[in-house]
Amino acid sequence: MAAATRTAPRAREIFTTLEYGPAPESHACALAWLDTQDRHLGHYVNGKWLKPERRNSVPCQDPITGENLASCLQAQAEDVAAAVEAARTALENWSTLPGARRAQHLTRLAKMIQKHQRLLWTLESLVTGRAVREVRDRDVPLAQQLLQYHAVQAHTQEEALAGWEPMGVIGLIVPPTFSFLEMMWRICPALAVGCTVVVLVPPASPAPLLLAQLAGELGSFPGILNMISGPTSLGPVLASQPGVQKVAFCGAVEEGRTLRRTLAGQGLELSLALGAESLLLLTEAADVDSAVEGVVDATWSDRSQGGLRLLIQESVWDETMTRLQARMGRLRVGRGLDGAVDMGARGAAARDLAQRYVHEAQSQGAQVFQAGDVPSDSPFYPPTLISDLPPASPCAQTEVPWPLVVASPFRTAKEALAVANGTPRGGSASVWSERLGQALELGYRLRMGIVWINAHGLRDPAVPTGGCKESGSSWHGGPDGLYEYLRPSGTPARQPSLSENLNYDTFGLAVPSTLPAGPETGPSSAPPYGLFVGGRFQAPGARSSRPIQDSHGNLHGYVAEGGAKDIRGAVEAAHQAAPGWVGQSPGARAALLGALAAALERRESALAARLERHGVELKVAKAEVELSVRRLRAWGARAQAQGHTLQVAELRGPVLRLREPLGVLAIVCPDEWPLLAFVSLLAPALAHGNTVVLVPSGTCPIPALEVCQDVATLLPAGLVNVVTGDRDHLTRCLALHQDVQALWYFGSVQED
Amino acid sequence: MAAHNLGTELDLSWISKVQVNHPAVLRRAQQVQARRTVKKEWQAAWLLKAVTFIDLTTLSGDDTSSNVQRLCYKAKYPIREDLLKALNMHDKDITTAAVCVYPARVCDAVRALKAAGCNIPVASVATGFPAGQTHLKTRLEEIRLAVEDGATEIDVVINRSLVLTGQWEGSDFIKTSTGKETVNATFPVAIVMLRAIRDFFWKTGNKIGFKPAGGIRSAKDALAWLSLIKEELGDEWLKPELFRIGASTLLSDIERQIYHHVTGRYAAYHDLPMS
Repeated sequence: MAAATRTAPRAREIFTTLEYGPAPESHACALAWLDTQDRHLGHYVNGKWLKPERRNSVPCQDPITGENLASCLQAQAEDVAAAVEAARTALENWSTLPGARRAQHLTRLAKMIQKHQRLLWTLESLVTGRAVREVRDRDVPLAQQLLQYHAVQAHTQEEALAGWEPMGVIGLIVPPTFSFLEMMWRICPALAVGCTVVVLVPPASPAPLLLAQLAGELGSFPGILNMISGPTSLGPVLASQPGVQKVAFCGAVEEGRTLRRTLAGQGLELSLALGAESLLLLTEAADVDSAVEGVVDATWSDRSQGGLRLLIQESVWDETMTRLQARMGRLRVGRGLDGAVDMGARGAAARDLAQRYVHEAQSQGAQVFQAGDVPSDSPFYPPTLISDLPPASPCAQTEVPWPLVVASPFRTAKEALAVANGTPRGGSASVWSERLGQALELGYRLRMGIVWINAHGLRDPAVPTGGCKESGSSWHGGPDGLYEYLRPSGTPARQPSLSENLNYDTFGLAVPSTLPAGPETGPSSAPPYGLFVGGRFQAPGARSSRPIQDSHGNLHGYVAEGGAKDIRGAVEAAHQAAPGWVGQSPGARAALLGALAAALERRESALAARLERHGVELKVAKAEVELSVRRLRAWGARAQAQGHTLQVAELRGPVLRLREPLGVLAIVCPDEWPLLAFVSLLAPALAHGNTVVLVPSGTCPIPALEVCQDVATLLPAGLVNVVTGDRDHLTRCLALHQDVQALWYFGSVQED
Repeated sequence: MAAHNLGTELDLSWISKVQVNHPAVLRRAQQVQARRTVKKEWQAAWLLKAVTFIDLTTLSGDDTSSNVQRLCYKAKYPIREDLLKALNMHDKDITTAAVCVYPARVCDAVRALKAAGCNIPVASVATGFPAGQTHLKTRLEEIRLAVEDGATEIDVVINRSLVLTGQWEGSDFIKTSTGKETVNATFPVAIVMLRAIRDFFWKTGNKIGFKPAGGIRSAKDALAWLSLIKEELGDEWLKPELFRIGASTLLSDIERQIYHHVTGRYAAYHDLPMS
């Protein structure tokens, strides 16, 4: 009774105001767990805590009170090496286990998380400042679902993924602003298919360490999951450890770019998931109130890491802004461990970033609206809505940080697409419209990794998500996520091919001059001459040619010396042809590839003769032509089987998975198998709706040009463009062309 | 009751423009319950507030003057006096918002409330409750009689066949359901109704009341409904003139929770008076 009397005046007051009160979630268990480590966290390697001497340590602080919770060791190179060593040792056993055995282990880990979920969610919320509700109700259950989904995948691996084998040791780099869930999206498929993992977690993030401990305490297979805590700058160290086959990185665009640069030529696969900005497209046919909730889900509910670009159709602009502002007024910001807040705090760095963006936007003439129940002390940043930001202002080009929403109007669907696709980012978006046709059309045409219709931010382990353009090209979830950690059985492990003295600034910069090289000899007729661009043979911009010698050193003929301007022209032609080619039905694409195959067959003797002059035995040459024909036909058939739907009950709706062409593909062919390689690279690219710019074999480009004679009559102009010349120079030109969506390079080890 | 809704010209374009995305509303319904919670004295105060929104209801075929009388007494004294004292709320005159009975029981209720010396309004369901499928003439007569007997609020069952054929009726208050349906007050339905109330207010300045009825049995449910109103409409709707909860067993669960809050113990069945 005594307790009640003490609180009585309070209840009286609340009865009138009907305000919300604090609803603190006890974090005693998180502190108790930190105590088991004496508030001193190390790394978790091979099922044991690793706390090497003489390392720097950083404090792990409560982002709201600033209280020191623990100190975390910073790894050095030798710690990383120890972790990779543990993962390599564990790999021998883990990768050869039957899938069912791995499935069992993953299921046990899911159950282990279930048993200790309170500890996990309070620790995560305490340290990151995110709303505990989001961690508890979404992240933790999703982490378990991920393990369970991938356990099922492991179970069926022998049948479903026959012909594929695990890559090996996977290095994973997670930046500070990402939740442990991002890590789980990558760890689960890797472990399921038989890879082992070393995660470089940012210092002062205990939740991943706890997860590793939970995994380690399962007893068996301790070395499959190892956590090293240290700065992102250790990424290259992790990547360069022998045995690491792939590095997966998620984080900021600039960091990803740096990592790509550092790892070039090391023979590693690198998967990137960059940036966190999202887009929401609100049409006049939308359920506006629900769309406003979509905005809340996207930015102001501690679900995503980034901000939101909001495109609103002009006719519902006022209505939407009114509703959005009214809704913002009801948002609650506060300590993450409070059960009734929408948004927590993300620490000083995130707050400063938001503040800088807002100041800059204001100085460029934007309107800023802030609302919500926000504590006045410093670590918090209110939900913020920015409008009237001039599209050309520098601010409008940069990534929108958390927790900001930048709203701008559009008039027509066409304009919306132009604005939405007019950024280098291509992560995720949602379309809000009750008109099915319109919603689907917008969904198809947004250049985004994932598009939700009338929802935002739904995730399911069975649905692959990823990005396009600058947002990276890696996929996680679903079957696609598994292939990220698999390679065809029997492929040799990739070897580092770094050439220490390679200078990117001068590589392929200058083209050695070419001069007349003696009389043209030999039995065959003169080869076609020119660059094959836009459907016809053209003279090169440089108006010079390079001699091609046969296997006896005699002059076989001249090919055009292509340069930067020719590449530019070729890319332009390819872009012009792209919409038409994408618009063709898969059947029509298959038919054209079939026609090209038939044409190749008719040209067999001429092609074989060309190959023979380059030292290929006639029988082998004929076989090469025949195989090339078969490849074209095979890819023609595959053109018809693309993209399919899958149904996921949990998301209350169908999930449509589409395979989109990359766009304009640049392909630098190897010198070997001059015809087969050319055709084998060309066919899949075309079959999937891409248009191409090819650089054929440097030593023997003539068979490719022969094929172009048929391409000219059979395929739409601009679909296939073949540029001959100095390989290094052309590679450089292609790499420096920003509007080439992908570059396949086969060739000298100099650049990889 | 708030000022009457004077109505506006019927503009069907308002209705044809309404877009409701079902899955999105279902998600919102889930979220609104998960994202807000009140604890300790906030919970106690909110629960007491919830009491003042209750239309304490008995709508049984076997209602007689004795159980109506008991109900009215409970409406006047919804929470044990000592519990209210402990919360220093005993002088706040906490009663339920109204007593809700069948038309034939209005007299009994009015008499019982008068005897208890309070002015809690008597609400009567009317117009062929719960189906509303009787003649307009008898329905109007039913209302007249209930008002004559002393009912000050009438819960009208609208003629749903008119609604389904696009012939709308106006009102001061809208209810989710009669409480006699298989599915009654659910969050997704309420969200759509609340948004309609807000839109109507933004367009005309008229505040329409809202009454979920049926299936609200636990104190936790009541708190969720309060925060739903607070989130979707705002504090100005959190008063008996604009918000009611139609319930019969909810009150006893609220009393149990208050008992627990005050004493730290869970009440036995016999610790709290029945209604």
